[in-house]
Amino acid sequence: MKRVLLLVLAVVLAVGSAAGAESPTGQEILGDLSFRTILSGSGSAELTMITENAKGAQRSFSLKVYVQMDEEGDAQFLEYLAPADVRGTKFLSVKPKDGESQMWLYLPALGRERRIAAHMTGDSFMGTDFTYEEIGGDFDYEEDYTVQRLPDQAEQGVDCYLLELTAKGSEALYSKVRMWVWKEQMVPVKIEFYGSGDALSKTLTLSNFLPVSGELIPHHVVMANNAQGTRTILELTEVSQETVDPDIFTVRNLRR
Amino acid sequence: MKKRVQILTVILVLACAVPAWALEPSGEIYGSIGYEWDRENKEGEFASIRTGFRLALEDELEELGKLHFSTKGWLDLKQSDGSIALDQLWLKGYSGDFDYQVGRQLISWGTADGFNPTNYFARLNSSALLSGDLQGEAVWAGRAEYYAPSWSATGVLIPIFAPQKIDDLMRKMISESHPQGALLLEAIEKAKKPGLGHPEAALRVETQLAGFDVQASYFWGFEPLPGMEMVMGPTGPALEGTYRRQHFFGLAVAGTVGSAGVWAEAAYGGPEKFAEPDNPFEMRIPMSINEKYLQAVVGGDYTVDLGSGLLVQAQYIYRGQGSLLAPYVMPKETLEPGDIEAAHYLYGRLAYDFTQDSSADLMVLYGTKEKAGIIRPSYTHRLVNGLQFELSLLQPFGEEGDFQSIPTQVGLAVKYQF
Repeated sequence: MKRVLLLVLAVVLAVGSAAGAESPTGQEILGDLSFRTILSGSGSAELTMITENAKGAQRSFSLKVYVQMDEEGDAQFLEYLAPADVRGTKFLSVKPKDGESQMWLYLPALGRERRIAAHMTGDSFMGTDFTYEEIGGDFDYEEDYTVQRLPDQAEQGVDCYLLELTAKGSEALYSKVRMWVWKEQMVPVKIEFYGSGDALSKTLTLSNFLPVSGELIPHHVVMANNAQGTRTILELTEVSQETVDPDIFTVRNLRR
Repeated sequence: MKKRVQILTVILVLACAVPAWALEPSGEIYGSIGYEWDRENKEGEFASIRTGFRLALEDELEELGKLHFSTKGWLDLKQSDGSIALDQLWLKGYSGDFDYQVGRQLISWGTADGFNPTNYFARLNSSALLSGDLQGEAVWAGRAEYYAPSWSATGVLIPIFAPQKIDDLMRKMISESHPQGALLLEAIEKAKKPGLGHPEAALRVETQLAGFDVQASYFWGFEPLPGMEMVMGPTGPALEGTYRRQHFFGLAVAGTVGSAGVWAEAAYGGPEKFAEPDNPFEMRIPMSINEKYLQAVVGGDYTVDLGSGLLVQAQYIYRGQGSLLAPYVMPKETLEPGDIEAAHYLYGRLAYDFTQDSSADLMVLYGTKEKAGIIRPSYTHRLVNGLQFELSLLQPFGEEGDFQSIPTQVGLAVKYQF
C-alpha cells in the first residue's frame, strides 16, 4: 500500500473490491489497499479530537485538516479551531516524492512559524497518541515492512483478512504491525503497532464508515497507547474530497 | 481608584459591545501573585497582585482578508497601578501574489528562539525576557508581502517611530546599575523622538536553499533607546539622549541536521555616529556604542527519547553592543568613553510534558562575562479546557554583573483563555 493516511488527515483508505483472486496473498491485499487512497489523494475534513489520559480525563480539540497526495508528493495542513489555548496553531508538512519531509508549526503567540525538526517525527503530536509521522501520513508500509497473511479473523462484527507486517530495517517506526482488513470493503478496521520486543505499543481502531463521494471514510477513529493507557479519539464531522487548492500547503497560508 | 474605575468601565463597555459586533470574542483573563526576595536587604515582600485581560475580535472577510481588533489591560492592586491599551488593530488583505496588512500589528521576524537580532520591530522589554513571554510589542505599520513560487519578499513601513518601552524591571536595572541612574532615566524621557516624516522601513527576502529556510533582511530605522552622551559644558555635566538613525543587514537560517533542529541568525550594522559638538567649550562623551557591531545567535534543539520526550534546547548569543541588560556604559574617570565589550550568553531550555495536562519547563541564561545568570523553572497545569495555572521561580545566580539587579521572584498565575 502506498500510504495509509491515518485518519486525521484523511485517513482514508482504499475502497473497492478485493483482488480477483479467491485467496489473495498478504502482499496482494496490501496492494489492493493502496490501489485507491482515500479522498482520492486530496481532500479536507473537520474533526473533533479528544485526548484521554490514563485516568480517563478527557480534553477536546477541534481541527480543520487538508490533505494532498499525488505524484509529486504528499502535503498536510492542520489548523486548530478550539480550544482557546491552542486556537490558531497550524501545522504544515510537505514531503516531495523523493525528498525529505519538511514541517513547520505556526504559533499565534509567537506570530511566526517554526521549523519542526526531523527528530520530532517519532514524537507525540501536540500531546496526542499520534506521532508527527502518523499525523503527517508519512508511512510507507510496502517500503518499510514485509507482509504475511495470517488466518482470517472477525473484527467489529465483520470478516477480516489479518496481515502481519514485519519491519525490514531500522527505518520503520514499529517492529511489527498487525492489520485487520474488512474483506467486503477492503478497508482496515483495526491496526496494532508493536514496538521493541514485539510489545504492543498502540492500537488504531477505525469505525463508522460512511460513504463520501462514493468512497468509505471512517468517521470514528481511536488510537490507544497501550503502554501509557492513554487514547486519542477522532470524530470526523465534515469530510470533503474536493481537490484542495495547492496554495493551502504553503508557508504563506500558515501566516494568514 | 480613579484608574481602576476607568479600566473596569472599559472592560464593561467592551463586554457589552461584543454581542453588537456579532463576533465570537477570544482572549484571556488572568490573575497573578508575585513575591520578591531582595538578597541584599534579606527581605521579602509581595511585589505584585495583578489581574488582567486580553480581548480580541476577528472577522474573516471572505476571500478579501481579515479584520482584527484586540485590547489588553492590567490592574496591580499592590502597586495601585494599571493600564488599558489597544493591542492590535489591523486589516489584512490578499490580492493575487500579494498579501498586505495595515494597522497596529505584531511583526515577528527571525528564526532563533526569543533572541532575534533580525526582529527589528517587536521589541522585548526586560520583564518579557524573564517571564518567557516573547511575543513583543505591536507597532503601527504597513506591510506588503510578495510570494513567487520559490521565494518571497516582505516590505514593512513604520510611519511613526515608537521607542522601546521602559518597564519597571528595566527602570530598576538602569537606576541601580549606574551611579547616575535617575539622571539616565530622565534623559531617556527627555530625548526628542523622531516624529512624522522620519519613518522606519525594512525589507526581507526569503527562500529555501538545500532544505534550509533562508531569510536576508535590511533595516533602516532608529535606535530603540536613545543613544546617550555625557555633555561636559560650562554649566557642568549633563546627560543627553538622541535617537540615531541605524542600519542593519540581517541573515537568518533554519532547518534540520540529522535528527536535530538548528538555526542561526545574525545582524550587522548600528547607529550613525554621534554628531561632533558645535560648541568648542563643550565635551561630549558617548555612553552608548558609537560604531557598527555584530549580534548573532546560533542554536538548536533535540528531543531526547525519555518518557514522553524531553526537549533540550541550547543557544549561544553574541552581542557586539554589550550587555543584554545594561544599555549604557558610564565614562571613565579620565573622561574617556567607557569600554563597551562584546557580551556572550548561553541559553538553555528543557521542557517536558508529564501528561497532556501538566508540563515543566526550565530556562537558564548565563553571561560568560558576568559569570552570572538567571534560572527559571516553571510548572504548568491545565485544570479544564482553557483554564491553567503556572508556578514559577526566577532565581539569579553568580556574584557579579547586571543580573544582580534582578530579585528572586516566585510567581503563581492563573489564566483562563476563551
